[in-house]
Amino acid sequence: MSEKNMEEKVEHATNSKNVSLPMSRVRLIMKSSPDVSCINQDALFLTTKATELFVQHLALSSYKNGSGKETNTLSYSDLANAAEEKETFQFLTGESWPFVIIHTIQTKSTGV
Amino acid sequence: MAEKPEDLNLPNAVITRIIKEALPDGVNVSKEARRAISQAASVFVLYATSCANNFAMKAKRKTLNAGDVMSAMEEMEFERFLQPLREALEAYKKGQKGKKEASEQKRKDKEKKNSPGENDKSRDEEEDEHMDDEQEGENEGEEEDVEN
Repeated sequence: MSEKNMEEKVEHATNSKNVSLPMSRVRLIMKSSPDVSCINQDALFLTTKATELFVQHLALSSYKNGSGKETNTLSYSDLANAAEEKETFQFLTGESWPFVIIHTIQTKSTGV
Repeated sequence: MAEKPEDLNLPNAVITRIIKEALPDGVNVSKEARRAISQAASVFVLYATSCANNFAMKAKRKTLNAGDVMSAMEEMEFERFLQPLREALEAYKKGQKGKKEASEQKRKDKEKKNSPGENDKSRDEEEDEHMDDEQEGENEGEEEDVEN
């Protein structure tokens, strides 16, 4: 395991154009998906990179779309609004998923 | 119920950094917003994987490949990602090639020190890091040549 972390650090140092998110963690998430057996290394890289692009896109869209510009803060409601209003973020509202991501977050913030 | 999102979270520090880099300077991000984005990212991975896997299954392949992921992006209406992804993949592949050559050199150096038995172990460990459940015959062929 430690060798893997070292390799990732080397990657960061030598290839700053690559990814910040740990591919090992992304692989874990991918493997939890049913019916997925093998994942090609390039596919893992692309998924990791795409996730980074998605985070940027979600953050910026929500900010531009929301009232954050006045308060200079990106808030949860900006995100919730973006998820409701924008088609590409619809999958976050949990309508087509077995679990509802936004509600999970709401319960989490009141609980532990 | 499927796995809870918090078990498959991405590191907070990295997510925060990516968010900060995307937003204009000086913009704050609430803790709840940060957590929501982090969890959204996990959902994104699952959704993309599921989508990509459908393409692989249609093509009767068991292994998810780069093409499947690209098709999934299109399907999910994230065409804006396609070009940056292609470029990033190019850079990544080049980097991987250099790393592979470097690690082969490392292995050759190890061979000089270790006995043949131990050699197999270290070789397998390195291969596991690069390949998931696949075996590349190409690699094994090369190594056989070197073992003298």
